Amino acid sequence: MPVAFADRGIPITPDDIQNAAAALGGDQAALWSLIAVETQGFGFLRDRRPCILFERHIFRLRTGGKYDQHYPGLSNRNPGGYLGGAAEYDRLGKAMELNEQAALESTSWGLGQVMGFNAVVAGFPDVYAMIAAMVAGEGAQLSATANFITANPPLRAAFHDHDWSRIAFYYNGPDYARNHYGENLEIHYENFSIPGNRPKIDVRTTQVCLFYLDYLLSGVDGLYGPQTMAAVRAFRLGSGLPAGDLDANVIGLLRSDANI
Amino acid sequence: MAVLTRLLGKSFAHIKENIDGLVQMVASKSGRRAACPGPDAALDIPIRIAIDLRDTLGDIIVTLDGERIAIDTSGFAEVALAPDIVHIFVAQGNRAGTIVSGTLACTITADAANKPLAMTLV
Repeated sequence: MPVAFADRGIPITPDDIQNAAAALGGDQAALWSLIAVETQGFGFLRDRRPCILFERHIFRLRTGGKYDQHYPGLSNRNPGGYLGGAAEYDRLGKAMELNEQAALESTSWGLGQVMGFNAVVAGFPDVYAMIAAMVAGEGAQLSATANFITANPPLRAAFHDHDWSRIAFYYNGPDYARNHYGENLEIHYENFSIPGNRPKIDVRTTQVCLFYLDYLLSGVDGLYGPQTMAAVRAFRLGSGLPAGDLDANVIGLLRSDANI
Repeated sequence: MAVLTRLLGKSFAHIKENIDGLVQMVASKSGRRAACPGPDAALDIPIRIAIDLRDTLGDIIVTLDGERIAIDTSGFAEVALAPDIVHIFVAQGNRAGTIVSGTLACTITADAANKPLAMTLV
């Protein structure tokens, strides 16, 4: 049966955040900073497929290097070759033609970018079950992330100690410093340590609807800024509503139209 | 009794772990060196180890299966390990004039790529 990569793409709820943060000692700021750095704040693409990254060096390990010569873009000793965004699915699709399971296991998924080969550690029976959950919603993406962190005590300790460079190294490897990954985590953490600066789930859900419906051109950050306001106005106009701002009626319509 | 059993169990497990580590270390030194390049070395599994450098002074020496490895200034190193056999990391440094050290034995499976490991020196 073909693997389905798109479904409703349900965004996280306050309970999802609270449960996942519990794995980090209740540290919501650390969780939000990880989300912000790993997936720029949202676990899905506009077409409702989870954000992914295909890792060719992992595919190589999982297929014994037998595709190195003819498919260096898909199977390579060195990480890289990323195309980003939806184009990562092109790479994944080509790799799946060579070895479906190895390709899925060599891809990182969703909010916390958990690798497919970590499916069991992340709380799923296998990579196919993991992907089905990742496709369904951000809640599963977040709980997979929390499970992965919990299952790796050195990583969990690094979160506990707010040791950003160590988290960055564990997540991204030796290039973490060049990519300023640790600094970015720290900057986001300091920002999100002020509860008022954290993404608002209700705003975020509204943004997700606007994003899926192509009204929001920027990313999903849970903050009600000028771009979100403009998107709401455009949605009102497109829906034949009088000019205005976000209200309960608009929220209801958005969720209905976006099937969220 | 249960507490005693648990303590003994822990203690025995600890002793066994050390013995296993030493046996492996001897095996490594006698030519079965897991980290050295072999026919399948290109498919070794990368892991990420962080050595806690807090309060240590000067150079810290880290070896993997008896051979020195490089760590960055934060105490981090990514190394590739042959799967399914025991590997031994040993680190030694200086903290306030006292030699501190640590040992870590690990066995890596194919599903452990990029596994985070940590070592503390005492």
